[in-house]
Amino acid sequence: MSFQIVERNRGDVVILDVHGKLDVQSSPLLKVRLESLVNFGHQKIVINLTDVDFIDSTGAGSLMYAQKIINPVTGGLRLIGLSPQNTNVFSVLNLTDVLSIMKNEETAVSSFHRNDATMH
Amino acid sequence: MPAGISIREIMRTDVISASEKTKAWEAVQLMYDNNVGSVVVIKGKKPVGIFTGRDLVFKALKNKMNMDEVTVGDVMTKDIVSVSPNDTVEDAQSIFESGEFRHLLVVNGNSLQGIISIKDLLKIRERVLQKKVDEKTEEILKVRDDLEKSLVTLNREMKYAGLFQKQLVAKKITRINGLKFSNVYEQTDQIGGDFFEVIKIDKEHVGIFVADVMGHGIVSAMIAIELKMNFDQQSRNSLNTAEVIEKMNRNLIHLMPESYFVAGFYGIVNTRTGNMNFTQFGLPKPTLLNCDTMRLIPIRPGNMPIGIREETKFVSGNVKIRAGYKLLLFTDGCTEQKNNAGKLLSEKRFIGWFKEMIMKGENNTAKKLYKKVTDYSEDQPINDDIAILLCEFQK
Repeated sequence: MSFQIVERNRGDVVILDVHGKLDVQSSPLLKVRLESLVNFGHQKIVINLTDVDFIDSTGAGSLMYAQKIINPVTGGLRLIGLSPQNTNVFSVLNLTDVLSIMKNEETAVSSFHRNDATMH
Repeated sequence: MPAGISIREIMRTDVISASEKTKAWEAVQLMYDNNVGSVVVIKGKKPVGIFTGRDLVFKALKNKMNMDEVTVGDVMTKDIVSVSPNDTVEDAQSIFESGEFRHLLVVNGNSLQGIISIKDLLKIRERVLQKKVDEKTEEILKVRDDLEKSLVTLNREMKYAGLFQKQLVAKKITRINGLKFSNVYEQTDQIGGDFFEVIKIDKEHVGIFVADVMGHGIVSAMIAIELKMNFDQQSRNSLNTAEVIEKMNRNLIHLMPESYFVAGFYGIVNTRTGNMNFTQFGLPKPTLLNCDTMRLIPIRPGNMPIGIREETKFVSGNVKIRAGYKLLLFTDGCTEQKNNAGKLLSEKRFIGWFKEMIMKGENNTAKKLYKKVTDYSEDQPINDDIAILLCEFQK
């Protein structure tokens, strides 16, 4: 499957459905898309990895990059749809504590709104 | 069409002319003999009309005139459009673009100087375009030559940088204080991001460090060199591996571009007591094998890589090393390789090969493991740097 990113919106939350392999070849594409979103003021981003069949360490790096460029106060990054194999990549790298891995889209989207309520 | 080309430069001066009284069929013969499409009709030196094949067809034949009697004066186009020799080809082109004329007379005052046809203009345009193409081709070839030269220089410098880095990062290590080492260090680019080092800290302590800068290429290589410099400095100051890694994390995090991080392992072996204090940070977990029982000894705990968070507290572990143990350290380039069927090599398969080799009592394990990885990848390119370091605790 060729690498593809499909963008959707749920209110002020941007959901990126990623398809294909997130590796050394495709990671720059994800990074550029994330940079563009952040530059346009989007701070609440959910990355759906359900259709990602492989993540290597560079792919993990691109997600860490997203984590770094998004302001955690006004938004954040949530990952959903991680297969056990892909979760293992983050476990091996001991990154599971750093990334917000969530059960599903609903949980991920509502987590932002909970944070908003706390801020008010 | 470039500005500045004058009509004088392109006009034909060998104008075929005839008088008004010339018979039309004689004028046609004249055109045929001279391979031209028109005859200029002159009175003295003054052009008074132009006769073409079209005049004959559309005027004489259409009106059923007697062909033996028709003169060029009867059918010629009297409405002469002319240009001056000093006019430019753009002037002529705009007249031709009106679509009414195929020939233009070139007149200076009342005197006929030459003629230009739409074909002449097209030929000029072709010549000018060809000249432009030639000039652009020459420019492109020059740019290509310059790029090739730059590429040769860049490749040469990358090659030297790679050799320099290899010497710096992966020196030949064999034995230190009863520990035997073998290693493989292969880069996908001329310079890479994997790095390992074995150092004798003091009489009793040996440090074993393996790191993998995420990605490969120039940025990763520069981080690897910075990492080495940092490691050389910090490893002298402490026998606590977590403390060393924590300081390196704090020093490096601001130097590393976003999205880069360093995974690795640092172990300090006390060769007298056999204790190994280690900090593992994000690398595939090292394999510590008791070769007598063929059991794997767990390496815990793990930490996140260097470069993620400045305030990370790294936690070290301790393990008792005995004679006959082998410690295999490797970067994820070994395990993330895929074969033609797209199947991942995996950590399980890689460690399985290692155990199999030990059970068979094979030598050159690190090199053989690397060969296994390249054989497994079949026709698939190796996409990541590969570092394998094997440490044998001798009896």
